Amino acid sequence: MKKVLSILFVLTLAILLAGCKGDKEISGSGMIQDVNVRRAISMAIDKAYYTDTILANESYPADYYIPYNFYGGIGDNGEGVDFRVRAEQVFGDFLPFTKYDMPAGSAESQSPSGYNHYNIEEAKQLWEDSRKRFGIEKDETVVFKMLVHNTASWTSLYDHVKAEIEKNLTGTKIKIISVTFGEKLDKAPTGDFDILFSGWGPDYMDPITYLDLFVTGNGHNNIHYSNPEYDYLINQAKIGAFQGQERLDAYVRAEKILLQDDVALLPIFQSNSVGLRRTQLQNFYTQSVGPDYILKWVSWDTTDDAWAAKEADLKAARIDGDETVLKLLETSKIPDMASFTTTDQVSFYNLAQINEGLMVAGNPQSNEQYLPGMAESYTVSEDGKVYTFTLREDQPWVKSDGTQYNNEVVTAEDFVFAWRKLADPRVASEYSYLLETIGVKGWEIAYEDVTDMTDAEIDTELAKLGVEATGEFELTVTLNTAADYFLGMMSFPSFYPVNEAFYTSLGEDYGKTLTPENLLYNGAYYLSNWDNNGHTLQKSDLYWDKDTVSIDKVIYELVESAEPEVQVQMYLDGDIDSVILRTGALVETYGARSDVRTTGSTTAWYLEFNINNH
Amino acid sequence: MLRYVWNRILMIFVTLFLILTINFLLLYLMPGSPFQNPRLTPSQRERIEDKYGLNDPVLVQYGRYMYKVSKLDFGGTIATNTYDDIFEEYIIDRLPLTAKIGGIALIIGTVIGITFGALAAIRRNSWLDNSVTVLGVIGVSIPSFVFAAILQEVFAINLDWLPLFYREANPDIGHSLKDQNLGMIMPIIALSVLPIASIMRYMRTELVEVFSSDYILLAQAKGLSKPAVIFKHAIRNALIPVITIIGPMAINLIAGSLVIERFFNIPGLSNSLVTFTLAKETYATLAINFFYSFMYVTVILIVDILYGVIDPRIRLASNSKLGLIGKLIKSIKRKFQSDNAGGEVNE
Repeated sequence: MKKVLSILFVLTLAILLAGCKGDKEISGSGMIQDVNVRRAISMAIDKAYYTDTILANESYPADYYIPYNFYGGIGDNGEGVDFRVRAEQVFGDFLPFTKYDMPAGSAESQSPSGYNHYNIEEAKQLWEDSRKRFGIEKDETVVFKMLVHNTASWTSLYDHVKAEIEKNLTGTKIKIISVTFGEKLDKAPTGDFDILFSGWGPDYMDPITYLDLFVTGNGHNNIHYSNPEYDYLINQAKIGAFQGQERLDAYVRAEKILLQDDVALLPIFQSNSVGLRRTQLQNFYTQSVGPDYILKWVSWDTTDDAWAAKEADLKAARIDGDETVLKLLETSKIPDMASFTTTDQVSFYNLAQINEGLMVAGNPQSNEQYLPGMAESYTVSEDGKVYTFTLREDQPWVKSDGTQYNNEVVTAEDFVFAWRKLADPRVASEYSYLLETIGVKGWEIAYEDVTDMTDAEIDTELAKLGVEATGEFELTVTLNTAADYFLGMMSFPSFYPVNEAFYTSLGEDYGKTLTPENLLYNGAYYLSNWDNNGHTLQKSDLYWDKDTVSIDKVIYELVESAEPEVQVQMYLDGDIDSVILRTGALVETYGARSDVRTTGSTTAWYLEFNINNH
Repeated sequence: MLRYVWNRILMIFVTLFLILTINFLLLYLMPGSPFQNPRLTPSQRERIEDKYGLNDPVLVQYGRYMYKVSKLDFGGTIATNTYDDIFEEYIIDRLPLTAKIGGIALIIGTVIGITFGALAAIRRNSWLDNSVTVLGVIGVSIPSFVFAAILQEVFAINLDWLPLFYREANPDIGHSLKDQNLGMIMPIIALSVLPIASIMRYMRTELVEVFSSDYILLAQAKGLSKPAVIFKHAIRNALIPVITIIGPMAINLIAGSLVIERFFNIPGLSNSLVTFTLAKETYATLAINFFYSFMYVTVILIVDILYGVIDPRIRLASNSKLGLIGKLIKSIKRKFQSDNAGGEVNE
């Protein structure tokens, strides 16, 4: 028996060794540092096949980093300009004549193409030249490690990228290293990859929100990309050295350096989604940054023409006498409504309806990116570092029964209190990093080691934070550096006001799950109901701009982790008024309906090349 | 007997302590962080982890956790303040619905399973027996979510008799109490398939064995009527082993209804265990794990005590010179035996 086993063992070993021979694998981590290798890989991937055939949800293939439909800045004529439109004006030479076909029915029939457009011949040529330069033998295979996170919906993308590169660039192999999302966050900074899959959505309405990532030394710069000219352009733009058209062009140049000159990124696509939505719903548009929708702007078309005869029941249910109702689906419970500790999209989204910051994200159809919210007006110091906001004096704090709380109105102190909570090291809010992003003076306190300090000492330190009530209705914010995207960030929920007296009466229970009475409201809506089945937003009669608000009641039904097919069924049954078609099969089945809507998103999905992190 | 019970309870503490320790270490070794916001830079993430003591040595973290547990504080969620006390706000809140649906499924499973299992054994090799065997194999081998999908397709979408999923009664959204009750029908049916199938097969095997035993022959020889033989002698004896598997099965129904809860949108307990684990919410995961383990060992304790009451030989064994570890191994062995009884039956 032993003899047989040992013979088998030797045989297996021999077969294994024979299999390896003639198929030498070498690491690609050296080659990836070469710009032409990166360009070859970039040009070898058919992105349109992924977006149109595999994904089939009207996402755009992208040869660009800053997404299409993203506000770039102020142009020559003094009006807002789409970043991509300007990029094409400036660097049209680098952009191929062929454009991607865009989904029928969209405003433009073709999408802008961009840097390193799909081109197999050129990719092959660049790759063969590079192989020669690096002295790679014919029988050698270059292995690139691609670090990705193992979310099921992405695997088709990983497979496509792998197949395209291996097919078009002979003698390559993509080794997919698939880990959990959390593990990827741990692994990426160590540089143990050649190619890294990433995505980024904007925090604020300025191209810097994307471009800042690849400045030398930025914490998100996992590939240790460094280019002095790039750094100069971004850092100067950040402190306001360029203004207007000059600033916009600086960004356009920076993007060209990143993608065309240095090929640090391989953009794949800009995600869109296809959904069904009642045709009578007006102004239900996605915001490019921050919370998905601002319900304040949404309304029903109440005219008889808008509603077909067979929709009579639905109309009666939605427009019931004087009250208009909107029904929507929530697929996960709101985790935390305390504005200064919360971290997730669902909470931010709901906070944006029930509370209001200094600014409000504008109606997407209007030209204004931001409109004054709690701040009636503001002034900026000459160096751009000190902002003084004048608050409106008539916005009451509202309780969950719709009445005013203790005759109190929103004051500057409420902002100071909330911002200090955000920065408080004892609170240890995950989103305190935003204070660093906008550069509020004294943000460092958020991360200070305060174990040896008394509460009084910590409070003294917190008082040094650059936010101050200079009057009952006057708020002064001091920044380390001038940054004009600061204003836009003021519509983000982490910066909303909190009533100190009310908070103190509740302590830790403030904003807790399922307790609408543990919150105070100063926005267009308040939470009138919140339980395990969902929640209801009721229009606030005490809201300063209540005349703009059209929908009286927004009912969210909670169906945790509802399957995509179930969600669509709910829409068809008239339970909800808007639904996203989450699978290609659903898009195929329902894509031709008259109530189909494409929702744009400004999230960019791309691969990063490990240029210098070894 | 008292000493026997006391020993078993002591063992439960040891078992639970080991479960907590091993789970804690496993979760500690799991990569990632509860702070999974991709917008945090690595240094920001590290600073915030420091704040929560997540970068302390494992022994320090473990000691801190066990000290809290000793005061019956199982902690809450780390990255959000959704739950301060996972036991009070999450488990106690969600258990009733899970238990209700699982309980009804178990009762249905037991009644139908025992009835048809017994009928199959009595009419051995008839068409009834054959169909029970076939249905039993199907029920055991097809996962419950397949049944759930078929039920949804047929009764909710095609026939439109039942609601697509469970919704709590809520006049605000327009769901009546009737909708709520109708919504429970499909999950209960889907859940009861496995208990029906396994109890049916178990009951049939036991009864067939009992029928071939000497005392049944004797009863028949005494001239007892057929019903008297079946009800007084056969079924009663066959039931004892069947009842012992129902305890662990109840726990399995509560702990293992994850897929069904997801399918039918039941805001129950098992729905979020996976979510918590993926989010690396260590304390929440540990608390739910601990709760399941606690229920499991409690049921085993009750079964063990019942064994002790029924069978004096088991009581005697507990007085033997086995050490604590030996006893533990023995109890684990026994647990596995009772597990197997629930799943597989040798015919």
